[in-house]
Amino acid sequence: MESSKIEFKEGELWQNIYQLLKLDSKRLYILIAIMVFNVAVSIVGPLSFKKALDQIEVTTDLKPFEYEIILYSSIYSFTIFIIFFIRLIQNIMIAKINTNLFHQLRIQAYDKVMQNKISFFDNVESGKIVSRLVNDSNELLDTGRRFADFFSQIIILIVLLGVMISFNPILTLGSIVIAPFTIIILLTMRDYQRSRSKNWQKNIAVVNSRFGEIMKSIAISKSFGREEENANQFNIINEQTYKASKERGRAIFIVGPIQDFLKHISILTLIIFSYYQLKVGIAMIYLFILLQAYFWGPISEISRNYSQFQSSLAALERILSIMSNESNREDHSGVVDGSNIEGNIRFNNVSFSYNETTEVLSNISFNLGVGETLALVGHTGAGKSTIVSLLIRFYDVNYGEILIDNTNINDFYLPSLRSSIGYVAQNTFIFKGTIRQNLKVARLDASDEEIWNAIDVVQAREFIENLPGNLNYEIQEEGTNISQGQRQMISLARVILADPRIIILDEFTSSLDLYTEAKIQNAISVVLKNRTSIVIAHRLTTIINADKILVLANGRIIEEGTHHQLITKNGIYSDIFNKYFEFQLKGLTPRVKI
Amino acid sequence: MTITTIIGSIIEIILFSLPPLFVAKFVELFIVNATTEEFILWVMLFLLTITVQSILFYFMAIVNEYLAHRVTTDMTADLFTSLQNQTLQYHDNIRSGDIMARATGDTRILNIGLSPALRFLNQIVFAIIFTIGVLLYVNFKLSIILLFISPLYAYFIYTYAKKLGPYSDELQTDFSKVSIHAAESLSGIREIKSFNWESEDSKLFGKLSSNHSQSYMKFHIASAYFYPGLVIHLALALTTIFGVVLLINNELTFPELVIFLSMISHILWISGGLQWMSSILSRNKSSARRLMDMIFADNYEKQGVNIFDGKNASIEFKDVYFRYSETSNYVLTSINLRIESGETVAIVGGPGSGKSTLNKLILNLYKPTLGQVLIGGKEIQSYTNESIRSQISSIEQDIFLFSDTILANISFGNPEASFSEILDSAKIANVLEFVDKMAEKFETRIGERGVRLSGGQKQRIAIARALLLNPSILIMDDASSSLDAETEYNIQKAIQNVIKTRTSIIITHRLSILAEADRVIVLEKGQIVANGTHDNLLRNSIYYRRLFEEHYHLQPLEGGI
Repeated sequence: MESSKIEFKEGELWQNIYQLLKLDSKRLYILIAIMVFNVAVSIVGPLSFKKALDQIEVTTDLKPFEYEIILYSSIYSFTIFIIFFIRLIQNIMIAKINTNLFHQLRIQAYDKVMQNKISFFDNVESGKIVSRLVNDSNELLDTGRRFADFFSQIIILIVLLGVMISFNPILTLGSIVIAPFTIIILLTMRDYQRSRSKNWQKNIAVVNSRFGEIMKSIAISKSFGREEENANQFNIINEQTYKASKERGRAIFIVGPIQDFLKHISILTLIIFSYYQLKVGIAMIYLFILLQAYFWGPISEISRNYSQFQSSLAALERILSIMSNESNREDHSGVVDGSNIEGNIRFNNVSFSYNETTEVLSNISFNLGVGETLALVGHTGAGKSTIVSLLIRFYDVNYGEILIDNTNINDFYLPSLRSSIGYVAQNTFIFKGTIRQNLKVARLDASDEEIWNAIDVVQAREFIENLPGNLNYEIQEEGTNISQGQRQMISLARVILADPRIIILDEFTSSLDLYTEAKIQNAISVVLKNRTSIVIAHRLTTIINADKILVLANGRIIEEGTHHQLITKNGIYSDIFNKYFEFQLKGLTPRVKI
Repeated sequence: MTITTIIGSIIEIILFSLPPLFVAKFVELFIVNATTEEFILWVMLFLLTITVQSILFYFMAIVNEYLAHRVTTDMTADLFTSLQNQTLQYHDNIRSGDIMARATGDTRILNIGLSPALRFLNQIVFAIIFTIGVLLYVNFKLSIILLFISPLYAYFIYTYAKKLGPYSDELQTDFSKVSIHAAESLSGIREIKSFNWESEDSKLFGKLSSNHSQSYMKFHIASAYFYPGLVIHLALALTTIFGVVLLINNELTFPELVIFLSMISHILWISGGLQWMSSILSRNKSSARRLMDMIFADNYEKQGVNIFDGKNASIEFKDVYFRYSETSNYVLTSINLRIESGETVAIVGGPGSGKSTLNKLILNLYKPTLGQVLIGGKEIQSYTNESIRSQISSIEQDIFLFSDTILANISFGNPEASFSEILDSAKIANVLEFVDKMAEKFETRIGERGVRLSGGQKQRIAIARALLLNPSILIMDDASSSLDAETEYNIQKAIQNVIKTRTSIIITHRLSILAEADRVIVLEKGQIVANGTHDNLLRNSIYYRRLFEEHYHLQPLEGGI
């Protein structure tokens, strides 16, 4: 994936998490305060223990101190209930911080990704993008807690250290002498852990993408009897993911045992130190055994969090790399308002290639006056659709320039430019939702009356009225519950509702029968009047009435002119045209005048 | 494997619970002023225990993690296979974003549930059992407290996980919605951009994402009230008080009290992760259910046992009615049609007249709601799907190519085809013409759904893909709509021989094809309104004439149907 070339240093990732958390900084600080308070209260427990134990030690006759001992133990019990409420507030706070964090990150990432250029979407499979936006952000669900934990644990460690030193510096040393090793191990492991996690998530994205692609097109697989082969191929990537998950497991789970071991070793060092400090008394030693556990609790927490953080950081890195690659972003730097253009289009020596190797368009120049219709003619792959993709700025030209009303289209504010261009694509896309919602994509404030008017233009009233619920009819994902011809009609109505100055029709009637096409054609010619339009069609009847025709071959203009000029020229156009009629007419006489 | 795993886990957990006992032993050694030798002996023993425990810990954790991923990897594969075998009706009602959410999102949760959460549960259960055992041995009276509190502890966890159930379900459902929206918007990115719909779309996504995060918050706030440590703290406090009382009455020694307090503290420490674990296990349940729902969905395609050999490739519709779901309108009504083996039939009709649906029934992708479809004289459901679909191939209207190489896409239906066979069908479909111009020829990758190709190029690959199967019935659904006249002409000429030697059904609006078909069928609102040769219909059928009237001068109507 081209976007994954961007690498992030760990510091940058932390900074990003901090930025996200800052959106909720009040809660975060409160949370850290609560967490510290929580521990302060929980230390009361072992301290009151010491009091109780002191009594046991100083005298063999405990009777007089019975009540005192029980009092201290009761204080301890009482603190537990306080802790319960503190924890409650703490957990609610964590839930809110976490929620906010991953939600913010996800919508920011989504926003950014949707602003990317079309070429980005051409190159990155959508299943992989979904995996980054959705699965990877899930890996960050617990980040808020881990982050707050991390800080509060550090504060706790400092406080505890103070308490311990005040009791006995030598035993303190015995309790913590092993601790630095933990840090060393964490730091040596982190890159390994993060790279394994990243690799694993990458594999999941591949599984996700493949799974989605196959299921989306299940009808094809079924009609080609391809299920078994599909399953075999899927198993290969699924097993690769399994392998990656094992590698990740080995990397992540190494930390726990090492932590356990070091923690226990530190019990041992404390015992050995105590052996030489027996004079301080059993109560003190036992207190340190308790405190040692309190001290290592946060350390294990920190190291566990830190190594799981590597997984989150890997996910964050994947999200950030997809959202922060500015070279993928659409250029929104233009400032000229394009919403009130007249509609004069001029291409000056435009050349373009999707990749560096093959030029799809070379040296395209033409001028299209306001209100004129241009027809693009040529074999498949000649570059017709590419020309209109450039005009709507799905792609940017490599050489030359495109002007609308004598302004370079790059100088227009992109959304305003697009709002002036209506584009009916070759492969129409219908959104999941009602017919009304689909049409309102063109204009949110359109009334039902305006919607029906647009529907009438494309002759779709009859079919829509026959659907249960009319405009409220729910269209399924990718419009699968209406026919392709009906999808074309809806997408055409959508553009008509948008009422743009420039209309691009790319094979807009290819799936319609001649009768429906003729009906639409008549209505469309009314709509196209007074608007600048570019039409791509293989049915020459559409082309004949155009003000200008460009004949393309291999990305070059080989002929141009009106139908009459081109026919009398006896060149390639007339050749195509004759072939068409020889092939298509079958003894019938066309109504159009040739 | 599993037996060793279980035994290994139990040993590890016992070793894991030993350090508190060692601590108590050391305290005892201090009190009785033990010799250095004895002290060193215990230090060594302790060292040995923790070393073995750490190593076992790592191996068990890894084995457990492997097993968990094995399970979920297999589940993902099962889900894949199961979904592939479901009927198209079933697929019509599920969305790819949802499938992806389950295939990777829910399995991930299940994964965490199996490792480390389940292992963790084992650990804590065994630790408690072991602790109770040791404590009972040390002092029966004092262990009564823990004995009574343990069931309470278990009950807490149980009610908690149960309480979280509905929240988990909601959480996963909302998660799917986020995934669905993202997947769909990415498919429609061109439309979104050309209508400046990005900000509206982001708003919608934001709403769904917010719903998901709200459910997440609800889930965690519900879980915030849960504090399993509370019960253990309580046990610890009560044990202390009661222990001191016993100590005073000389029914307990101080090292024994230390054993009690250390071991209960040990449980307290490992309880720390219990809240997380229970919430994961509760989410696990709903994720597992979501996966099982799809894996065990029993909308399997029904199929027969007969093998369709393609020799008698006739097709017959007997009074067929069809609708996609029980609530929708009939798409086909009262279809009676017989197509002889080797015949070429063209189908015309307006948008939504049922042309494509008719073809889907011939491929047995859907079952007729009423009536029968017969192939070679036998009901289509009596054949195996494999034999039907290897003998019938279709060039669909809405071409779906895979993000793979051109070669892989052409050989999609016949992966074993030799390169020369592929080359032949590529030649007929005029694929060679543009492939030759590409730097990587047949190895060129075409992007998701073939985005890097023009519409006509995609159609030509789809034609080659269908021809490679060498089917006895060929269905072409508007297969040349994106082709220019010359390319179409070339393909038409090349394909002529292919069509002549098999039963062919061609949906088209091209006059040239209609004129050469043996028969033309006109569909109107799901019914056959005309059936005959092109010339015949042109003279007699008002429906057929209507297609051409606007474009061509026609002879006056003769009979009228």
